[in-house]
Amino acid sequence: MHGEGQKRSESSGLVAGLWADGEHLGMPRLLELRDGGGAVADRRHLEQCSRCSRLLAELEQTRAVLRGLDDLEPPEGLWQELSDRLAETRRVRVRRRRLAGMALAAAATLVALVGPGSWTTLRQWQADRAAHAALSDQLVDVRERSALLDREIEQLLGETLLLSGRQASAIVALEDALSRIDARLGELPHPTRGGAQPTRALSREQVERQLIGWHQRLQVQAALVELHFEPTALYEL
Amino acid sequence: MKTLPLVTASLSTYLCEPDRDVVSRARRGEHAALEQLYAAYGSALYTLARRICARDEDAEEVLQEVFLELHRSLRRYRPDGSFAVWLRRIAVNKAISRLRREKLRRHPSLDDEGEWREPEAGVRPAAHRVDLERALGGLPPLTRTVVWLHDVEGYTHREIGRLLGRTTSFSKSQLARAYVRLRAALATPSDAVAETGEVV
Repeated sequence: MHGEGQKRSESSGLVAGLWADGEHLGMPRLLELRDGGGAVADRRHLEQCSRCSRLLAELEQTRAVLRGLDDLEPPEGLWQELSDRLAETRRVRVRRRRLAGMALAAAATLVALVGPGSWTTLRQWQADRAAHAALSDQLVDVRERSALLDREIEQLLGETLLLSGRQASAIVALEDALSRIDARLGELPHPTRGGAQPTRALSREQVERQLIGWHQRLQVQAALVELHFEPTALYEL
Repeated sequence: MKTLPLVTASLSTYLCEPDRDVVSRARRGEHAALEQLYAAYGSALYTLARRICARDEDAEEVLQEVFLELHRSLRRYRPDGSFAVWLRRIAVNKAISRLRREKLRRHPSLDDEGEWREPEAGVRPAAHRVDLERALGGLPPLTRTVVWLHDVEGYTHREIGRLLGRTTSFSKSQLARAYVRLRAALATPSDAVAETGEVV
């Protein structure tokens, strides 16, 4: 059949398989033939070389066995686990919509009241006690919304498993901005607690300054919420 | 859990399109519809993930990620394309992503770039399934991925190259190296006897 020298040649060329050794086809060319390609010369070689033909048949059989391997079954409890994660994803989505709506609504109200274009209106309201009361009520409302967002953000921080580097940096920067705003708000006079409308103890100017500060705070909080809901935080775990 | 008609071979499963109503309901976020899709494709997707990742826990995580992604992205799916193929593409991408993360964590090399011992020459009968599964699991991760995607899932070398961020040639060479390794791993003492005529 084969001499010793020929055997060594086959061993180095054919079985290592990354080239043809001149006598037999290498693995890449055999695979090309198996997959319906290959050169005409290689096909002619197959007709004359029983060894390469048998190897080609072996490759075809191996592929057939691979394709015939049984499907594997996921573990029994996996759907329940997945089901819980899907439910959690839905819950987070709903909360996201609610939070985003809440932050935007609060910010929009404040822009209308204390935005640059509204200063003139505010000046006119300075003489109006009813307007003062409305601003004070608004301040109470904004502070409550901001406090609620604080709690939600704290919960989000606990749920987010992994943040990208960009997200983490942005969150640090926003939290830093939040600290600076809080420090400025802390320097403003605080209303005396105990009354039904504590902010009405402040002057109109003090209420306006507080509103501007809380407006900025809500904007930063809205940005923080948005960051936590980027896809990376939920899906690239 | 309700089940759609049982299909055992992965490839056949992908050729089986789900009822459009099920997809529409899943698109609206209906939990029961997602469960039906899981019943229909979970096994095939798990098999795909398990063959590529080679570890049960990775395959389980990939399967969950696929359905979370499905839940998130189903609105972007265009009904004119094959749902099953779209789902499989998500699974392949998730499995490859997992391999890449594994590479960062522990493997110095995912593909077969190193030296290997030359196996014995000779032609053997087709491998036993169990042996072949074991040998497949022993391949380097990307090499194993190429074998499975090309020979079982029917991806072209060009598609595999793109999926892996490599060239078409890379995929071809990995497949060739894989078969050399598989033949070596499947070699048995009887092969040696058959080839040399001597008992070793």
